Amino acid sequence: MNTKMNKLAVALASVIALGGLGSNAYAANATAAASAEVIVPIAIAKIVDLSFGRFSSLAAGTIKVDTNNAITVTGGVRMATGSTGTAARFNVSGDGSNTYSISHSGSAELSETGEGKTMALAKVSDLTAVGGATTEVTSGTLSSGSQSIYVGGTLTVGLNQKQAVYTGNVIVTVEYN
Amino acid sequence: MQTETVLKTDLARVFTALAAALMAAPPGWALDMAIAPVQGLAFGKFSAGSGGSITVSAGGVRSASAGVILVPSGAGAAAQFSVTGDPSRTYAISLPANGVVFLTSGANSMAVNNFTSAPALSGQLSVGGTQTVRVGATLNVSGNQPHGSYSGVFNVTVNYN
Repeated sequence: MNTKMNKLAVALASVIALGGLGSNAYAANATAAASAEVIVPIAIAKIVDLSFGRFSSLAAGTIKVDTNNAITVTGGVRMATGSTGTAARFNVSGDGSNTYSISHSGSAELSETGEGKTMALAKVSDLTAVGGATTEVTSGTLSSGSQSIYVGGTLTVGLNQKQAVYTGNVIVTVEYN
Repeated sequence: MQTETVLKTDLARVFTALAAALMAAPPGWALDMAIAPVQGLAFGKFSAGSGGSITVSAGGVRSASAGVILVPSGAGAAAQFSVTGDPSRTYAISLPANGVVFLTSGANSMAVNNFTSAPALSGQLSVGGTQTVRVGATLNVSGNQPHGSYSGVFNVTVNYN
């Protein structure tokens, strides 16, 4: 009997010992998801330069190269025979169908190196090369990770604008929205 | 007779021990604690660039270091857990240690370290017996980390103080 009771006591003590761990029995645990999406960096490359071609100015005027490469002259500006102009084209590459912002910078005028004569440059741009844009496009949406930006512009040409090669920079910056 | 005496003595000991155990076990009257995920931890969308890290604070503010470029349209978010239990009771919050949690995308992975929570180490349940725990962490991004959707899981444990 003595032995039996000792066994009983030991058994109960074991149960009590488990109960003594009680505070841990109330611990609760939950699992949550964590996520991240790494996307291809956005990039832009110049494919075609903006070119106004060759022209003369018997009187002040303007020459416009639209995003569809169409040239329009006003005032005394005349295109040289056989000369054509081209809109600038930039290719944007990135991830999927992300949207992005577009900002334009660069030269506000084209200049020649001899005397520093200039012609003011006002730019227009679109994403379709359809032409007719009156402003600079400010946002785009990638399609399968790519899109093109077309930049045209209008030069203000003075009377007897000095004969020279005028150059400047057209800069387009893109950033994911 | 001698046997009976011993028996009584042993029983008394057992009952004493039982009583002591019951008295010393107030958790026996407590509600079970429970914790449930409400919202996952999101580091959002970004370009790896030259690598670095992204931290989402427990308050849900996302920031990047070094070459990582955050994409604003792909925001991050702190994880949220709903904790329930005894009204007004305090409890400890245990977050994953460093080197334990990874986000993976195929064969590629990124480590998630430096978990933080709000409240921090210890919380206190409301009078209604609930509290929301928000959890942030830092994601380590390698230079030219391969693009893709990365996912993983992590555990949070709560226990009465």
